[in-house]
Amino acid sequence: MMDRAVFTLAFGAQKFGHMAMGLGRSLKLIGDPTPRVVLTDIDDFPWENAFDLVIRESVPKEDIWWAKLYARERIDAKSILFLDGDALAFKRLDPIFRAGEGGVFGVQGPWRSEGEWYGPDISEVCAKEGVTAMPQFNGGLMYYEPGAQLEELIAEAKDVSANAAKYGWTLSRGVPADEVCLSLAMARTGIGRVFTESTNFQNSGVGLIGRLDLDVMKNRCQYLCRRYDVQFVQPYIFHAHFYSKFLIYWRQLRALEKLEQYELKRPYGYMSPWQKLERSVQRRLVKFRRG
Amino acid sequence: MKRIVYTLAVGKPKFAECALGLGRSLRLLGDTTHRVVVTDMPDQPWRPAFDEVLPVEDSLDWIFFSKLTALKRTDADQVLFIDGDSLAFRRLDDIFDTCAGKGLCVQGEWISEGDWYGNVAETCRRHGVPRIAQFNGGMIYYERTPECEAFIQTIFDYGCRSEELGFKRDDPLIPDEPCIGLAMAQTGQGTLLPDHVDFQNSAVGLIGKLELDVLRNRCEFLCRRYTVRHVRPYIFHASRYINYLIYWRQLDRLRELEAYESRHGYGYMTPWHKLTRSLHKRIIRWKTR
Repeated sequence: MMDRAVFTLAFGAQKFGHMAMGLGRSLKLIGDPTPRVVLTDIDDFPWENAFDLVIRESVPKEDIWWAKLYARERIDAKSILFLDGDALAFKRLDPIFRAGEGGVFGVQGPWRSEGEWYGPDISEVCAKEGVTAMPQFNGGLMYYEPGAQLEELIAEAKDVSANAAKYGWTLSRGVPADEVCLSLAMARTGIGRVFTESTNFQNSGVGLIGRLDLDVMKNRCQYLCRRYDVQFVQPYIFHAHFYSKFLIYWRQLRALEKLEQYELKRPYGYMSPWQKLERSVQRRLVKFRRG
Repeated sequence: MKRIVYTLAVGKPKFAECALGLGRSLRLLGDTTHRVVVTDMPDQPWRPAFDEVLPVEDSLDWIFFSKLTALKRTDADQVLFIDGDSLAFRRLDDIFDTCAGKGLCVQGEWISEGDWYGNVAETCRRHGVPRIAQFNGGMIYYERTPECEAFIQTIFDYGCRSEELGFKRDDPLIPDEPCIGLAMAQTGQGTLLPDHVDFQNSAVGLIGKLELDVLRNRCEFLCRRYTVRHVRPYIFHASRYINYLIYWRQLDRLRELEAYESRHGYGYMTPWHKLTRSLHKRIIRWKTR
């Protein structure tokens, strides 16, 4: 049994394959030791280069959101971190697992009792359900621990989903987003843990102010953004989300792919002829200056 | 539990410069671990970079094994040996905390093939082990427990038999790394920390630029070792970079900072700094009146 696993999905169009490969490669590049698992129906990608386990499977349309929780039935791990395929990792994941440990389910965001979310105002949903607040989060990151309590939470969320019309949420492909369903289920059952926004485990650069400083080669992801407040953010996980339509994100994917090629073609400790020449010249200079 | 950093500076004066750089870099970071240097150059300005200076006791050919003598020569309970040609970029508490209770610890990977002090597959066959621990001896942790002290004695025994074991260097020095690596494989003692802990890295297999700057406390780079990785090590082991100007520039800067500290008092402001403050004060007063 694995202690921990990172889980992601890639199904449908080829572009989703490129994105999920990017996530796997970015985790590998920063030396994150968590076993990586991908569930995919896309061929022609060297999945094994970036993932430890590849589950080849299609996801039915009605299960599009719930597939994020598939890992509980398909792999044997005590704790699982689901990350959206269009994410890039810039810090190792250990603190996220530690924050979630023992909490059954974990997401990042504030508890809110008002404000629009997928259509209706949160206050209206809360009033209907008799709860005071709901956690508002981005489903690109979800921590979970398989077991009876998680199943209870999921059953509650699926019940919410089946009665979605009652709340007036915007539907996508005929179903409400997993986020609102899980959020309300958390509020109803009290199961799960909400990581504060300040943990910056995940951020998608929404409300960007100025320049997005994103560079996998330098392990740099930082920017100012206006979300709940104006903040300088250096997230663990950059969820590209709407930046998947920006060239800067695709440049990172290309850079990660190139590094993988480099690793495959060159052995441990490889020095280019240029580096060898440079060393030879500098050695002479050091000897001349220092004796 | 008394913790120490233990290093060596033996032979040429350049090795003293290197070790001073290590001590100064730790001091610059505010690392509070007691620092001990073993040296045959007592006239170097070891203080304030080091707290204790010990004379060399071992012969030159045995010098690599002097790394493991701190339990005998000091009252430390936890020892982190760091090669003199290293620079620290993060405080050492994490390393001590991670290694505590694990006996002798080194950072590396188990290997069963390739080249390391000879053909590894052949070494394994010859000594009847499936693999040996490959690591860089620039950083070794050990502690005062009966098991660890006995294991160090075993390593010394391997060192005495190094030629018979088939481990040789091009120079007359007896290599410690393969003796420790084989002793770990044969006895099952010691701990091999995975390479990804990044406690130490020597930027072997560098890709692109080596970002190294003690003034900004920055050490980061991409390198192709076991895999391609982005690394920000706690300790940069200059190793082959001892022949590069960038490393010596860091030593110069550290020496200059030490000199600055000895010449200037607490909170010193340069005349330029004072002038800037004076100008800004006027501008602020004018803008906020």
